[in-house]
Amino acid sequence: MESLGLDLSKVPIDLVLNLLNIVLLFLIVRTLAYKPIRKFMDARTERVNAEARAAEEKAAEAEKLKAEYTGLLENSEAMCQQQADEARKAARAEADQIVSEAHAQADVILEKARAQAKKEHDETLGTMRQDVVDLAFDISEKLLEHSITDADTKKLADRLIDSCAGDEESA
Amino acid sequence: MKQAKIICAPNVSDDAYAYLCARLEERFGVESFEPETDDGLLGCFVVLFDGKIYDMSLRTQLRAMRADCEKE
Repeated sequence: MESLGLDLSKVPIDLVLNLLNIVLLFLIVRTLAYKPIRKFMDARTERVNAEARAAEEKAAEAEKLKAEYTGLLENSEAMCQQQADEARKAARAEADQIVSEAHAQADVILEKARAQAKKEHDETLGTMRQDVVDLAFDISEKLLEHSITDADTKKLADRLIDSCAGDEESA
Repeated sequence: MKQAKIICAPNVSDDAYAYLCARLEERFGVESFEPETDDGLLGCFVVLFDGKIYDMSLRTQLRAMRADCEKE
């Protein structure tokens, strides 16, 4: 130290010792604590990053599934709507057909009823006509039986003679 | 001898019967007449002569008219 020109009595020993402690402490802490802690922190950071990446992947997959299911849902809704429309259309067509057939049957029934009514009307009219004719002739018989005169009988006699004479001439 | 059968309704008088007989005798020379009465004739007469029947009865005429009406 005297060769260097340093006066050791003027150098603060405490300061040197403290500095030496600090360096020594630094070295000890660095060796015993800093590296493990650093290693732990790096591992933790890596773990956190891995979890973040996994979460992102799962979120992306969830979004993908969501989009897929949304598409499926929309397709199924569209399909249901289409099936409902087709079912309504088919039901309407069937209803129209049923109504049309019912009208046709009603027309047939109505026509048959009209024909039957006409037939019954004609039969009744015929029966009534026959009854009227019978009654008229019955009355005529009664009246003529008592009203025919000798003159009428003689006229018929003349008609008989004339018709007989006509038969002879034609023969 | 020509013969005629005359079937009369009850309401034919003797005068009308005699007239008929006279006409038959005058026109066809009928000499014999066989009278008969039929209540169903209603009026006038039926003459059977020379194998023929001449039906001038009211019944037959009414029946003919009825048949014509029924045909219509």
